Parts: sequence; C-alpha cells; structure tokens
Amino acid sequence: MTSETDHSLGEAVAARNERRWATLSIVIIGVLVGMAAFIGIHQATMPQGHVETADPKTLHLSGEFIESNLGSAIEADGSVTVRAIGQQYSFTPQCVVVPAETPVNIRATSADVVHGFLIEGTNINTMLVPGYVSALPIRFKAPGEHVMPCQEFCGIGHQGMWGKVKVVDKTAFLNMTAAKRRLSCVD
Amino acid sequence: MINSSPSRTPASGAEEAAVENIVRSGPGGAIAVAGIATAIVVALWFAFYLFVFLPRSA
Amino acid sequence: MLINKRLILAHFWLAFIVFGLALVLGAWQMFVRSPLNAWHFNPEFYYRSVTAHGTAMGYVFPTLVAMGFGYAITEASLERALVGRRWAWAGLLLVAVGAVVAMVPVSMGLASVLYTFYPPMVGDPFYYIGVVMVVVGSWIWVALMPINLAVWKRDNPDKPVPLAMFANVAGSYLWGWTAVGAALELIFQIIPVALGLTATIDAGLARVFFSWTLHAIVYFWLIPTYIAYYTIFPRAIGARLYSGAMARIAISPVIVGESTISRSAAVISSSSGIWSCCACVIKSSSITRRPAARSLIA
Repeated sequence: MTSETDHSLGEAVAARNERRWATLSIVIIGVLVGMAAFIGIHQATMPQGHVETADPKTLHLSGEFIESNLGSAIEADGSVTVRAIGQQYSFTPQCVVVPAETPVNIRATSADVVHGFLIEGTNINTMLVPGYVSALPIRFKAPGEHVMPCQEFCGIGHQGMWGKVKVVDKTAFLNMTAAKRRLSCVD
Repeated sequence: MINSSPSRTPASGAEEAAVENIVRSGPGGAIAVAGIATAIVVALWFAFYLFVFLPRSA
Repeated sequence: MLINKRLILAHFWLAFIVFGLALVLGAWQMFVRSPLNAWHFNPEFYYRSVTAHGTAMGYVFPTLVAMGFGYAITEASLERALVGRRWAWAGLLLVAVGAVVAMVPVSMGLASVLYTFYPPMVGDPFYYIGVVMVVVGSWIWVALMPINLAVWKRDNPDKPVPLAMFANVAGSYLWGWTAVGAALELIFQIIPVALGLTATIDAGLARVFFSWTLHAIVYFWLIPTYIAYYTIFPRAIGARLYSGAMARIAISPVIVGESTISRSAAVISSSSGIWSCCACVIKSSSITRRPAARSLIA
C-alpha cells in the first residue's frame, strides 16, 4: 500500500545523503591533495626537488665532503652552508654551529649505511643515503641548542649516534668566521 | 550466510514499515558521529601544519 | 557456511602462535629498555629481537590473518567451498616454512637488520630468502581470491558480487601489487649481495622499492577490519548495511589511491613526506567513515 512510496522515499533520502557524504569526502581529498602539491612546490626543497649523488668510497679523499670542507661555511650572499657526514656511529662535525636568523643550507651524506638526520625542534628530518646527498634549508629563529640524533637504524651503535646543533648569535658567528673558514663547536 | 539479512521473515509487514520509517528519517545520527570524527582528524592535521610545521620551516 | 574450517582455523592458529612468540619478544624488549635490567643492556641482543619481532609482527602475523580471513570471507560470502584448496594449503606451508627459514639466522644474530632491511646493511641470505617465501606463499592467496570470484561469477552471471568478496578481492589486489616493491628489492638487490654475487647496492633505489611496499602494506592489514565493519558488524547487531554502494565506492579509491601512492612513496623519509602520508590516512579514513549500520539511526 504505502510501502511502495515509503520505500522509494527512503531510497531517495539514502541517495541524497550518500551524495552529500561522497561530495564531502571528495572535497576533503581535493583540499589535502592540493595542499600536498602546494607544499611540494613552494617549500620546494622539502623534499628535495633534485637528486644529487656522491661516491661513498672516496668521500674522505676528494670532493665536497673531505674533512677540511666539513662544518659551517659562510657564503658570499650571507647564507651559511653546513656540510656534514654520518657514519657508523657518529656525525662529523659532531657539534654543528650556525647563526640565528640566517638562511642555512644543510648538505649531508653517509659514508657507509643509511643513517637518519634529524634536528630536534625543526623540520629537518631526512635520511642520509650512501651515494646520495641530502640538501635541506633551515632558518633558526633564536640561539639555543638542538639535539641531532640519528633516527634510522644503522647498526649496533645506532642508539649512541647523535650530535648537537648550537645556534649562536649572528654577530658571534661572524666573529668566528674571521678565524677559520670552516666552523664547528666541537672544541 | 554473511550476505543475507538476519531477519528475512516474510510476515513482518509492521516491522518492514517501521524500518522504512526509520530509513526515511535519514541517517542523522550516523552522519553526526562520522562527521565529528572526520572533522577532528582534519582539524588536527591542519592544526599541526599551521602551528607546528609552518613556524618551523625555513 | 564454512566448509574448509580446518584450513581457515589453521591459518589463525599459526598466526596467533607466531603472534604469541612475538609478544614475548616485545615484552622482553621493554624489559631490556627499562631501568630494571640495565645490566642486560646489550644492543646486539636488542636489535636481534627487534628484527625477529618486526618480521613476525609486520610480515608473518598480519599476512596469515589476512589470508585466513580471506578464505573465510570467500566461503561465507560466495556460499561454496574454496576453489584451489590444495594450493591454499601449499601457500600456508610456504608461509610457515619461510617464517622458520627467516627466523633461524635472526635468532643466531646473523641478520639483525630489522624488518625494513636497511641495505647496504646486509645479513645472512636465508633471512631474506625466508621473507621472500612468506611473500610468495601469500601470493598464492592473492591468486586464489580473484579465481574464486571468477568461478562464482561464471555460475552466477546475473548476481552482483557480494560486498564482502568485493572488498576481499580488492585487498588481495592491493597486496599483490604493493608486495612487488619489497620483492624486487629482496630478489634483485639484497639477496645477490647477501649471497656474494654482487658487491654494490643502490641504497636509494632500495628505499624506493621498499617504500612501494611499506606505504600500502598498512592498508592491506586494515582491509580485514573494514570488511568486518561493513559486513559482519551490521549482521552481528541485527541490522542491515545502510549503503552497499557507498561501501564499494569507499573501498575502491583506497585501493587505487594506495596502489598509486605506494609507487611514488620515495619521499616518506622527509618531513613533508610525513605530512603527505598523514594526508593519505585522512583521505582514506574520511571515505570509509561512512555511516554504514542502520542501527545507528534507529
């Protein structure tokens, strides 16, 4: 009797709600995908927009990551480039010194196995893959100290592999650059 | 077995009518629960992005 | 109606026996990390246990659950005996033997590489061979799911595919696709180095292959739960599924999206990758969080 119309009314209600929820889901997906694309394009170096390689077998002998080139270097445009390597089971330099309120570019690679590279309290969170160079930009707002642990399993000594990032005042850093061309706070 | 409805008795006209009534009034409660849960998750994502990730970026 | 109950139960028995062993290891790991046991702080034992625990928890246990559950859903929703019963038992045997083969070198401390493998760290080849055996055993299940559906469709040409089986086969496709990444990494990169056939390995490529698997594997683990919520749960509470169509629409993008995302998941290790990853989780959960049981509105 009325069951026919009741049933089709019920179906119409169901269909309408299904459409609404599907629309909402698609909108949420669209927004999140759009944001992911935006993040990728505008914060273009997170993740890295390009692949850079290095030869782990000759890392210490020649090229960008020889020991005398590791540490913090001031560039002509006032930015700072930090070069570091991770190996079982330490980072070199173990204490990285950088100025506050300055664009810093971190370039690091691994000399042996996959290591992690993370600076606590920042967005620096990546892997050091042997054969590849990880390059990430960072800007520290204030002086302080940050722990820099290795957050990817690299062997038996993994839990003891961590370094430190010391953020100093900009003028203090510039004074340090007068004395040495590659800086660290290891001493 | 897993597909069929548990109460498939033909002589349940009153029950069928009651069910149709319920269906007709729409899944408001379910939408409320699912909607609030989804809203919380999406809000948390945006909160972390806006208040933690962006402030820490270069 | 379930016919091959022993087959199905055998999967769950073995799954939960393995789970029990891994639980013990997990508890022991916590003990090791606590101040109660400082003198046992030997990192070598710890990472050995983490490898065994992770392999059992991540590969053996959830795969067996998905397989056994999949066979149960096949018989319950298609209402007929499983086609390929002997193949199914062979698959289970392969998983069981593979798990043992993998665990022997790990227990001896020869393959403390964690279930994520982390090349260029390389352990005993039999650990990786054991994992490959587990994956190949599960691929027998992956093949049997669509085969059973095809046989049923041939005999039931006009009926729509039961929702539980639809999601089940979708899940098997997802696993079949996403397992390829780790299989490629193991077979073409790690095992040759472990056997001494090659001396170098591209660690970046290995991570790409592994993330192909690691991203979508969590959805492979999740699909039995989704099936249970969409098909078993409404029935158990005496209700009907509100919208079977929405359930199918919900499952499909999760499978397609995750299969696509898993292939391009090389960025997971970066911080922005983590945000994209969370976005994936939110996307799939917002679709599947569809009001499904009518009793919620009664």
